Amino acid sequence: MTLFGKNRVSGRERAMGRKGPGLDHGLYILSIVILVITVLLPVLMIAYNTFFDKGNLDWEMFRRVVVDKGNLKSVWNTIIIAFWVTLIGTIVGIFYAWLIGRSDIPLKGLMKSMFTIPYMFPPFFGAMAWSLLLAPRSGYINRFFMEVTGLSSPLFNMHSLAGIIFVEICYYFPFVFLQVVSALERMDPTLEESARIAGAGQGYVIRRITLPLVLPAIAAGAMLILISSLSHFGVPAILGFSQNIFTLPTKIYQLIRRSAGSFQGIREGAALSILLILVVVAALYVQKKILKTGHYDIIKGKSMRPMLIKLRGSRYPLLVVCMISLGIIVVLPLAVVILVGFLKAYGLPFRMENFTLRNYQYILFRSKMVVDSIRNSLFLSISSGIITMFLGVMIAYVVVKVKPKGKGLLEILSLLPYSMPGIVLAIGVILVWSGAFYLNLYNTIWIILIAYIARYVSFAMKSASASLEQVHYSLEEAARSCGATHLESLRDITLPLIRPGMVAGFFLIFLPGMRELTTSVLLYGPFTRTLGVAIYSMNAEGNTVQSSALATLAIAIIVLGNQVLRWVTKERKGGMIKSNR
Amino acid sequence: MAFVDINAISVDYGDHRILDKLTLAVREGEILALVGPSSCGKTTLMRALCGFIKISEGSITLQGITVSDAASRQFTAPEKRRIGVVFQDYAVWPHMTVLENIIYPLRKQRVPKGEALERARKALAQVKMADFGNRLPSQLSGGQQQRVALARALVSSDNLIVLDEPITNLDAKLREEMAYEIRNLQARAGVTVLYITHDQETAMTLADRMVIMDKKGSIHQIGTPEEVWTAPTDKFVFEFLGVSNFIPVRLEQGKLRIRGEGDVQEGDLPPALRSGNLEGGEKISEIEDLMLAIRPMDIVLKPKSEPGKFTGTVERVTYLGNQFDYIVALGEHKLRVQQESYSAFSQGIPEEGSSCGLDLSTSVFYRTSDSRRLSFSSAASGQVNRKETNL
Repeated sequence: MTLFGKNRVSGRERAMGRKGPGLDHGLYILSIVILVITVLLPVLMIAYNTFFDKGNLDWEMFRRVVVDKGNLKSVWNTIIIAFWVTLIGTIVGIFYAWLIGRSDIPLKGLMKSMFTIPYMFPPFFGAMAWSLLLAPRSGYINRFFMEVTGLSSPLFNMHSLAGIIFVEICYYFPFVFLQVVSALERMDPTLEESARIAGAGQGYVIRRITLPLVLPAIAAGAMLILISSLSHFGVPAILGFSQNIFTLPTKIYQLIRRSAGSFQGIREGAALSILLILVVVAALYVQKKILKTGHYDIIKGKSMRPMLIKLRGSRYPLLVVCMISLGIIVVLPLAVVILVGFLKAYGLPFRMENFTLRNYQYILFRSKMVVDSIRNSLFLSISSGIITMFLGVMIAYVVVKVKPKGKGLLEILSLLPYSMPGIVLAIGVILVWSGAFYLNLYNTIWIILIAYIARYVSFAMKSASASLEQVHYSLEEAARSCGATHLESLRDITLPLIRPGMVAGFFLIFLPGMRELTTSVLLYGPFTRTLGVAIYSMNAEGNTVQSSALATLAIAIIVLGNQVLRWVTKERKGGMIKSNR
Repeated sequence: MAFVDINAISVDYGDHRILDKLTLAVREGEILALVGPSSCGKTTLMRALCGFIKISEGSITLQGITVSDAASRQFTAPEKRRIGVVFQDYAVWPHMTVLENIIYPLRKQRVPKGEALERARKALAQVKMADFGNRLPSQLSGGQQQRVALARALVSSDNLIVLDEPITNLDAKLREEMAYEIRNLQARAGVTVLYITHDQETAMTLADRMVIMDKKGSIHQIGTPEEVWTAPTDKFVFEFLGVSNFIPVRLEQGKLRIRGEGDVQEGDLPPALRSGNLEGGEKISEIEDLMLAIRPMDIVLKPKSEPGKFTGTVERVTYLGNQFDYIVALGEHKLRVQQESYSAFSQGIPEEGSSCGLDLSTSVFYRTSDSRRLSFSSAASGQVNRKETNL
């Protein structure tokens, strides 16, 4: 593995008592170099290519792209969608979190795990499902509605701004939900109880005590929704293209596809990327201004028994509301995708005689493109999972344990991709790896691998930091004093102790890798389609039943992967990582 | 030549200097206790000695071999120093069994398997953990983990072991037991031990010599526990070793006067001060401001005030079983006085609010100007120890 290959030399140097860079120093340099190449260089190349043409300063192209009416319209759409998705998604998330975290509503465990299901699947599956149900003319529900009422206008047109917003809310509200539920669970209940004892009413306690305490969690969740929605590609691509509704990411995609990879097209894509980055930065700034969150240390790490609010008469009506919304958000789209995957043709009613296994036969055995895409996605997810996880461990080790002077730079570089839209990253990767530096990987699988590594390095680094922080430095030093070299102490002590964390980190990359669309949709070549791209393009070409069958297959893989992840993290909680004080 | 020679070392964390030109010598085969308040740089000293951090000035020599030298930028890696360490948090590896933990250093020394197993078993037996070899650390109590750490340190080095505040997390009984065991092990194995702690009591029971450090990381006194206890070199050491009373006094016209507002008392000079001959031929001036220091147990409480002695007012009486604890006001100064229950009962327990006589003749005196102890050339009090304190 290249991770340690380079440093074995410096380790030996040190053991021999020679002056020179130690293992720690080597790891630091290596981390910086890898991050600069995979993360920083793409961003720099986007900026350079936007403002320079063949080495000459060129503002004209950027100006033209910015004032273009279509582009401005897509900026506006992006902002409108993100605004409503963040606002409503946050409110919905808080509402359900409060209901499950603080009220005596029944079936909590079931609902909590159901509400996290959208988290597992890519939103574009939902867009496909809702398109099947509520496409203006062909959607099952709209057709049923028009048949029953005799009207010629559909009940609801999913292919619209409102439709895009609706689907994104369904998939992004869990960000706030999960954050707030966990904050509520960790909150010291005596804070609320003492307010009640002091004579405050329930509404007052919620407004003045509970809400301010969970505000940091709300803000964190809302920020995730905002960033995700601004950079999101799949839903507006599936629901918006047919109606000429574009957001910045879909506009960039259209631009690159239409120019068929010409350099001028990529340059314009880069300019739009700059615009998208600016929108993201501005949105984060505005949000920070609105939600000036204080730091409360009142939320403790250990879980306590919270004071539950009695819903009394509204208990069962609220349960019905929850069940209906779960049915709409979670069950219905999944059921539709799975059912349509077994249909002979899209549009046929769901009756026994219309079901078939032909679609599966087609995708698994007859279509080389589909089989390739499954193989590609497995290869990409597994290899990027392994590489990125080791990279994350190395960077986290430097940041958490070595703490060099330049550790701030390292942290910024590794967390940068976290807020960088996937489509922007794809443009940057194209600009860097298609010949600009003597290496042309365009249309190969390696360019997608590089993009995945850059995209997921922040996940890996966060997960590895969390487990490394649990390993007290004395454990490693004890090994040194027992006669182990630095490298041996890493191999014998540190790595075995964080191994469960590394496995969990691998799955945190593998799972999103399996369903990835945004980045690979710009990078795939004739033989390097990914699973996401295959589903998306089959759906776009009108092969609805086949794409639904393939989506069902992807759902099965993701569910399986999640089970393994859950099993792994459960194991991890059983073991003791801390040096026992 | 000493076993370990720490020669004027300085350690910096960024702009913050933790240790400043610290010099210390550890003799072969002794238990040297390094005692000081928390965050005084004790652990930093240990880490510099073991090679976990680099020093910015000075040098460290182990058995005559230089392992750290700031000037020549010489640095021996920790694994080459062969120092056994027992860490504050024990640092027993949680993913290895007890036996695996102890065999690990032997594996690194390339000891053949059979011999390694035998030596590890022996070390386990030494710390009375022979039956726990196959347990995981998470199945052990704090005290047991500590024994494992000790056994591991014994196995990894047979000449120098450093213990960093190892038994402060244990309860009092276990602490005593462990201190006794460390003492025993050291006597049997003949290793040199550097024992780092903030707990001066354990250090006293354990050490051949003690080193007292202050908050800023400088050494105030080095000596045997008896030397340090009976002749604290300055006010800091006196105070650090236990509950103390300090009263500002003035020496004037052959009398000792309590300084302070209001009711100022005078008393006879204690025997130590009468001769007035200081070490090195110095003389005490006619008028001199001093700091009187005395421990609660050393103050003799008399039922009535006596001529030439001081008179105080008993403010609080607390019965502690084997002894009585009083707060006595002497002018504006409050003194903590302790008396054994037997003598208290035999002479009558003073009422709160009543006056009493105070005999302070076993006091020690420190100069107000530099807080150094006055040491006398003629053994007038018998308590003052004139031994060179090795600084």
